[in-house]
Amino acid sequence: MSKNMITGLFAVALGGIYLIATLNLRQQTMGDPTGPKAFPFIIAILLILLGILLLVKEIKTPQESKSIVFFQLTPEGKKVLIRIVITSIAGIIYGFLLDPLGYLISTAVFMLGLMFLVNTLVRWKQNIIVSISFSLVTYIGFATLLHLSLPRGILSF
Amino acid sequence: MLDSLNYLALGMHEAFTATNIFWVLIGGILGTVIGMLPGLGPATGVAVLIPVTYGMNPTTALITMAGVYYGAMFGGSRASILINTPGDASAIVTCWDGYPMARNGQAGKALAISAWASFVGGMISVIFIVFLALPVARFALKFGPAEMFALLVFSLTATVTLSKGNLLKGFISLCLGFIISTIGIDAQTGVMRFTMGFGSLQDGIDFLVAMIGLYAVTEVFKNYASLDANYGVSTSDIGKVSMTRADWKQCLGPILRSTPLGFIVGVLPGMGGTIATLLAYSTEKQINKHPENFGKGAMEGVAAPEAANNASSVGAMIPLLTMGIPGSGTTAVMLGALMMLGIQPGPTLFTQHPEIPWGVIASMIIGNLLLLAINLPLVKPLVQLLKIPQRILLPMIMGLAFMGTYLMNYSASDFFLLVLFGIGGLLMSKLDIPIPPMVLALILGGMLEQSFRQALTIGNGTPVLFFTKPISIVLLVLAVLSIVYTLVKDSRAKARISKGQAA
Repeated sequence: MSKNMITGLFAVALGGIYLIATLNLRQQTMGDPTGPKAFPFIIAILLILLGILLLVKEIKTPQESKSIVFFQLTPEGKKVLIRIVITSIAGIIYGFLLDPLGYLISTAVFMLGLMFLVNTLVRWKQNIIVSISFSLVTYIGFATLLHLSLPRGILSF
Repeated sequence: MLDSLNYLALGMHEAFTATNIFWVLIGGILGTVIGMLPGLGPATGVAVLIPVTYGMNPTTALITMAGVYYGAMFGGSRASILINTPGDASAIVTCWDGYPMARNGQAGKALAISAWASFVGGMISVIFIVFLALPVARFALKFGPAEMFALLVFSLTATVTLSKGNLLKGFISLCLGFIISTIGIDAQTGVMRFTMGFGSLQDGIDFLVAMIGLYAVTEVFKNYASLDANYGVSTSDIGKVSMTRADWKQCLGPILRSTPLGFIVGVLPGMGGTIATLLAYSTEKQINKHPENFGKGAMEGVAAPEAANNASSVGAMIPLLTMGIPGSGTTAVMLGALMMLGIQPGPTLFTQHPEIPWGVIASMIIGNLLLLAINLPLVKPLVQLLKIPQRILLPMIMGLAFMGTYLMNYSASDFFLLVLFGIGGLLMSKLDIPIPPMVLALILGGMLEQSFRQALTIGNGTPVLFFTKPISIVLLVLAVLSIVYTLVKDSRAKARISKGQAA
């Protein structure tokens, strides 16, 4: 499928869902005769129209001048995808650890995870040094220079 | 006129404090470094730096972010000249003659020309902004809801039509931003909209989280594909970083011509540094006696775009400060950070808190001087930073992105949104959907809807106001014209291509 085709279908689908959600909104014109529905309604119609226009234009375009999305990943592409997925999951886990463990420990752990993911296992010394110093430097920087408090967690000294 | 100078004096007083000079320097250096690193532009730089501004007063915050912005304009071209890889989009043009100069053994001279051109372009633009800011702000004070609506429509349309790429996809991107901006409690009626049952969405989606996601997380994800890119250069090849009197003679004309050009382009919404540099370069090439030298290491080919992109970054501050309307991704992020601090830029800012806009304007004078100092004698140690491997740099940017998000509301639940926007931005760029229109719509959507509804209320429920106020008519006509112009231009380009195939 071509990039424009996917974008067009996505626009029509999202516009449709948004339109239904808009129509289901409570109408409330007290203090504002236009109400909360009008603006989203216009946007929904606009998005659907744009999507249809893009689809029509794409169907008319000759096949050879379309830019196609390839769903089959190269081995390198697979690696990139894995990195993205792991980073995303690590970020969310980081969120759960931040308050109980405190900024210093959870950040160091998160950074260590990212460093091992991106900077290979072989350079483990570098990874440990970068992670711990990132966590320390940002903590001290924010606490002293900018007077922002970060959670201390179990290191509540 | 005299007013402006008085206010500038006030701004000087504000900017010349130890704290503010310190932060101009930090912002400038960080901007230079981030601008220099391929793949990371000024928008990413400002987004990553947002947490640093939380503890600051608004003037210092804006001074720091502006420093990052024009610092990135200085820095972007270092990489263009030395490794033929632009540090950010507005430094692409500098590659065309900067890199050939470096290959001819004139790297030092090219770096000096670019630093001086950036400096002169920036300084002259500061003079422009000093005398333009107040009149524009006073003019904007007269804007009612209808004019504001028309101005927003024009700015947002121009962001799509004036930038390159598919028109329809640009508008789709705008709609995405609007949709996100409508999530949460409607300010005027209290109706809950599109929260999908999540209590945390009641207050709407924090646009700073969206911006950090789109500009920092997405950029890191994109760069995950080129982890082993090596941007190291050896300093011994650079040579002496200086310009001779003859070089000056040759470059002064292009610099002086490109500065106003870049400034005007910067003021206009949607254009920004990339288009400013392209225009400046092609103008100089056309009027030069030896256009054949362009692309082979012409000094004018470095001087012109460098002056233009710095001028445009200063020009971009005019709509941001006087009307509260950002024209580019970078200024949008700056606006977001300011709103976070409780400051709404716009015409009233000049009357209520004159020290903020004027402090920023005055700080640009210091900033440009400091950046010249950083980029001339210190350029050699600075380019060593290009040697920092991506494998170390990317995790650190990711770490800063998460930290910034956390510090915003002290709530780690924003991390879901951050990741979501990071992935969303990546998908958008894979589909060639431009991101800046969405970011602008996201931050301006609320204002657009509000002015729309207010204007309708005043017009007793009819859109009569939009078509009776002269300023509103002009702006709406301009918006339509910019769409028509783009359509005509595209169909002509297509006709030319098909003609070429037939022949």
